[in-house]
Amino acid sequence: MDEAALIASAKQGDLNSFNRLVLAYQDNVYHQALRVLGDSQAADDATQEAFISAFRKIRSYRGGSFRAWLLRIVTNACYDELRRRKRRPTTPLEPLDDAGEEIDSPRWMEDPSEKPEAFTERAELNRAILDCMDKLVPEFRAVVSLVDIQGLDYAEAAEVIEKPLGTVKSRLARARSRLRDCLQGYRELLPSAFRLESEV
Amino acid sequence: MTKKITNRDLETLSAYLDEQLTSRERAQLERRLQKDQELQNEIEQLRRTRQLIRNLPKVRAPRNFTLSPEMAGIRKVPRPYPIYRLASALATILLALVLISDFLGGQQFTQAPQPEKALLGTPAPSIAAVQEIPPESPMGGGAAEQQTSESTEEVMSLAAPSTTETPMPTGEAVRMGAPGKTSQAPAAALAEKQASEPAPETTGEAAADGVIEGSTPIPPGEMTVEPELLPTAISEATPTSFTRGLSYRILEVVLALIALITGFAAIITRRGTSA
Repeated sequence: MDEAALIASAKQGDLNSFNRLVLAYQDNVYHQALRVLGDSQAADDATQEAFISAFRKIRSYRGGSFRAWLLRIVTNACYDELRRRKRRPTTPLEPLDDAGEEIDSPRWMEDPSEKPEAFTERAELNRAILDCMDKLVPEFRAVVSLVDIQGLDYAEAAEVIEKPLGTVKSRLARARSRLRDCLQGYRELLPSAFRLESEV
Repeated sequence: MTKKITNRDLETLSAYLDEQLTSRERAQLERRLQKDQELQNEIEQLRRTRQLIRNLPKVRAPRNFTLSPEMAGIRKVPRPYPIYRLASALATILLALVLISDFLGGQQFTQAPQPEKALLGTPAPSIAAVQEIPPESPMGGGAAEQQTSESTEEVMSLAAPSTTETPMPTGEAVRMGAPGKTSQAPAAALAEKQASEPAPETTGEAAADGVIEGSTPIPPGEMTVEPELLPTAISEATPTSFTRGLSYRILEVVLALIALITGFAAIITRRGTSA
């Protein structure tokens, strides 16, 4: 069954059809939540909440990119969560090992074919990038994630954040510029091909 | 000397990397890039930054986020099994209570006519037996009705023989409507008796022998008192017991049916749920 048929069936209340759509898009939705929120538990909750919300209002879906529609719902769920955190600040949970120490490189980042040193370097670099992303304001993080991680074009991203295309363009440029500035502080971690210092 | 890169330049460079510029904008930028080294450095740094972000490992969902009906807010139809089970249990309990009540009530009722029997044993029954015969009596409906209650049968069996011994003048019996059409046996016996023997003589002999106490002719004035007593007692007891028994039977049958039907329904629905 193709996506349009599954959506049509889900609109009639068929939960099985909707769950097939969930399985198709849950990686995208979860990744978006993780990039915007920055921690896996909150991302898990936001993803689940987003799918529940999506099922309840699927009749309001009027065509277009279904992935963009889902990403809009999860991005809004993330904003809601961030607003809640602002009202009740909490310490974000990092993944912990058996000894209770924070894991710098969670299992999901592992590549079995990679040498341990290379894996460690890459893990550190990724951590640096994510740290820099976390320093961005949520609206910038969301746009970077939508365009550079989810691979949406500007029009789709504008649809997701419900802002004009110019806003996407502006936020993305400023976010990339800030990330570049932030990553200057991690230059020793960057591969030579990715050194960001001026080559002049 | 370096020129300041404006936010506008940043947006244009970023959009250029994403191929989101119009052909005219792109051509303009490319002309500038050829001449401006700082702009070239800026776009190179943005390209690398963009590439680093895009090289972040893809994250997979840690679990499936499929929805259960409860999560989706789909109300499940309440399972009928517990309802059937409860209904069956309640009907069974009620049936048991009704049966016990019926049994106890029946026992009480069979004992209830005893005082009437005792009353019939007194001299008055001789008149009472005659008095119960008239068509206006509730017992005058026929043999079928007489069998509906044990108490009624007992009363009749006691009343009927007494008529043979009743030393009642024929005139009295006729006046009291004894040979009623519907009460066959007592009426016939009484009529036969009255026809074969002269009542005053029999009465006189019985009174002389003293066989039956109080069998002396009773003046009409006294008869008016006792007929009011006995027919009233009988007429109150008999229809009530009949109605009561019928109600119990109906109730028992209904409850038994409910218990059985809901019990079977519970078994069937339980099989359906477990399958």
